[in-house]
Amino acid sequence: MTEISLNELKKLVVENCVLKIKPDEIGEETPLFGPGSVGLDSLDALQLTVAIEQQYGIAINDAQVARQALQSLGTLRRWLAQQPGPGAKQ
Amino acid sequence: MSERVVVTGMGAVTPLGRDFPATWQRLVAGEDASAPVTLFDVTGCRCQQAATCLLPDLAGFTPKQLARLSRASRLALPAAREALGDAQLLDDHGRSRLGQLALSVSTTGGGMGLGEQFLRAMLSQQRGAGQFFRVSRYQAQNQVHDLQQHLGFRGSTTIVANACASGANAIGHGADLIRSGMYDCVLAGGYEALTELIYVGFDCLQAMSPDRCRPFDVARNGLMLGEAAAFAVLESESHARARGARILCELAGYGHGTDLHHLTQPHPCGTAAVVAMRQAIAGAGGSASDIGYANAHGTGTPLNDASEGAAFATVFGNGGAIPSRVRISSTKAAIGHTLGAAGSVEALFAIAALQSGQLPPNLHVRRPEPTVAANLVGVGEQRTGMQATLTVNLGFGGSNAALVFKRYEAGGQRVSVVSIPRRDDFSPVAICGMGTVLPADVAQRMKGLNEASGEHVVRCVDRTGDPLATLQNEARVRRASPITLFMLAAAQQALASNPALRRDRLGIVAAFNTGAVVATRRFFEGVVKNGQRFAGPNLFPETVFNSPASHVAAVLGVAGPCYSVVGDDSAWVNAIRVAASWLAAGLVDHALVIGAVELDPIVIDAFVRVGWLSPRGRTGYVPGEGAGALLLRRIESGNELRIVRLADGFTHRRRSEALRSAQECLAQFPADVVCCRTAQHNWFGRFEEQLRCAKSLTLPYRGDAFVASAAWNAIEAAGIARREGRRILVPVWGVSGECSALLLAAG
Repeated sequence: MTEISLNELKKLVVENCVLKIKPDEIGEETPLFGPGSVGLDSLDALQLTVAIEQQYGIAINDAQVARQALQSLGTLRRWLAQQPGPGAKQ
Repeated sequence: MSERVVVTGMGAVTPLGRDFPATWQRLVAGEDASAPVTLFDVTGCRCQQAATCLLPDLAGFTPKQLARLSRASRLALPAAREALGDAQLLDDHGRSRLGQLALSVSTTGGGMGLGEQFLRAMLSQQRGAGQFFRVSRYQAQNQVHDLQQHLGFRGSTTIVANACASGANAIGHGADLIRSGMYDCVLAGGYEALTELIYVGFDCLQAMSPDRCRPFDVARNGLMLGEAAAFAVLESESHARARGARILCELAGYGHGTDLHHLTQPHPCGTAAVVAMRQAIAGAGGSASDIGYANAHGTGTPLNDASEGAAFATVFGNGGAIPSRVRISSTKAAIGHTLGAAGSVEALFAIAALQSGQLPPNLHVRRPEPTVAANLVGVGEQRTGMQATLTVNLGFGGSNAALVFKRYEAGGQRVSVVSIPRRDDFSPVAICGMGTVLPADVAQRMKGLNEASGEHVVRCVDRTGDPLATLQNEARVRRASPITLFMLAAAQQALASNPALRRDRLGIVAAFNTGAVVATRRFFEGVVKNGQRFAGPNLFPETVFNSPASHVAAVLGVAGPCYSVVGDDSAWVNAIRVAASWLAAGLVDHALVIGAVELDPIVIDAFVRVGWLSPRGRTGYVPGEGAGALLLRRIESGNELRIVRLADGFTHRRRSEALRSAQECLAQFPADVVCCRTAQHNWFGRFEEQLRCAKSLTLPYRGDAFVASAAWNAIEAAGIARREGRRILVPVWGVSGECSALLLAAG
């Protein structure tokens, strides 16, 4: 699908995960989960999969795929770019 | 030494049966009640199955009476009536022989089905006449009022909303009330009616099994939701024996604790479940080896069952293998996870297993979880001669609770009570800290969701200033509804004057009316606007009643007892009674009691529909929000600021009966004390003019914020009592129908 801008993904994460930081404070390769990360947890992971499906029409139905795609904004952006397009299911 | 607590009656409505005997028969036969959901549309959900009930007939009810009952009441009423009947406490007309009967009840959703209809109607800009009924009948106190009205009794009520552990908490708290000497007989239990909000919530968390619920199977993939109601009649041994009651067993131990690990995930080692089970076993005066059967929480989710298995290994196997003589089963594959009712239904199963020797099987296991592989109960299994059984529940927000039931043996002492004693002893408690979060001085305006509701003056808390602005940076509360921050700020203020206080000896009781209404409205609004598929997993856990209290416990580091108590304004007094029972029992050294309310546009819609606000002008009523907290401990000297007496449970069904209820409540106190006027702008205000009191004291009006107002009034009056060294009576007029009051003293 068409490449999504990093800023758009930053905004998506900050708004959906109710983070108390500015979008620009998240780097492209900053881990989203775990030590030294933005500090997201399993509820945020679920929230992001719902938001991605709602916004881009791409469902993430496999937990393993979600774990890999959601490591950072960079992995998410690259994963989304590889998907066939809105409405396509895995 | 406190008296033994015995069980003398049981009743239940479950997906397997319209009464307890029918349920038990099908349960031990290995049946499961899973079926496609037909109560509401689930086409947008990932899962489609649940275990729902066939509603029992309610003999003697007119069609009009039945139409006024929520589905929750349709479940609770027959279960409670069966329990009272089983205890020989019903007269020939199906009404309670005891006119005064304390209730300890649990639920997570109350009559939320009606609340959902109201919210949908407001969002779609409907103006139908049914809105008054829906909004005034969905809250949990309405189901309690239904029980009291139709079963013919009055009395003190505690509604515990500790998520999935609530049902065990309600029964355990009923026992606490008896052991502390406050009551001799308590009707205790829980109910839960399946609603769309709850179903979609669990669906979006992907916590439900898309195929089959398999507790303790290594390939388990989620829970099945259910609905049910279950009640037990609890009595002091002397009360039961004096009236010649048939005693089913002894409720010998109760334990509870709070898991601070995560809002929705248990600690992998099940530490809080271990605490709860060990506390219950120790309270029963025995050891883990006495337990023959344990009814597990066993939801069938990967994390719950692993954590619980680890907890069983710690309690029964000292960290190693659990002896095979300990039989364990989750009954949730059969009847579903019934949330606020689960702990009560499962307590009844543990009692029936103790009595009959039949054990309820753990269904659908193909490859058992290794920790419990040698212990899971199969279909048709029996075990005779058990001395004790246990039930344990682990809830959202980290609420954990366990109960131990023992075979009843009369013992050596003779109980020769000629007349049944009547008690309402309340051990005075000292107030050693106070905190408030008040609305800003400048009033604001708020619109309802429905355009017809108009815009109204409200008193909101300034959420941009300190301490709230700082507190919202706490990682644990970033998703929380504003009410959590109000509670946290009030609690920290109350604790500030006691820096050396031991957090491991501190308990928390939170009093709520609508709880986290902002999160609830936002979650359901998302479901309505975006569809079930796009419901917010981040928001749903925040809608659960005990989430704010569990956040407060986590931030303060309180892993001990933590209750969320709901109701109308009187929930504040009910909560103080809970704290007093903990202090009297020595369970904690200090207890924080917090009353909190938050405002939201849907609240404006509700107040317009019940007539407190008028879309065409001012009524004088100003909705408010905020929190108040009292830090309580046991009395150390005769001079300290203290609550010397409380009275609650003076209920009324109609406004025309409110004055009489208020008079009855105040008659419990000396006639010469100063009585506060607290209801300037709600409809209780005109009754206050007619109430007997030697001298009155008018407290400041900061908007109507129900339990928060009750807390502010108590704190304001406490300050005056301390300064002037006199006794002050603070009434709490519950606008849903309960009158209560506190008597403060100092010097």
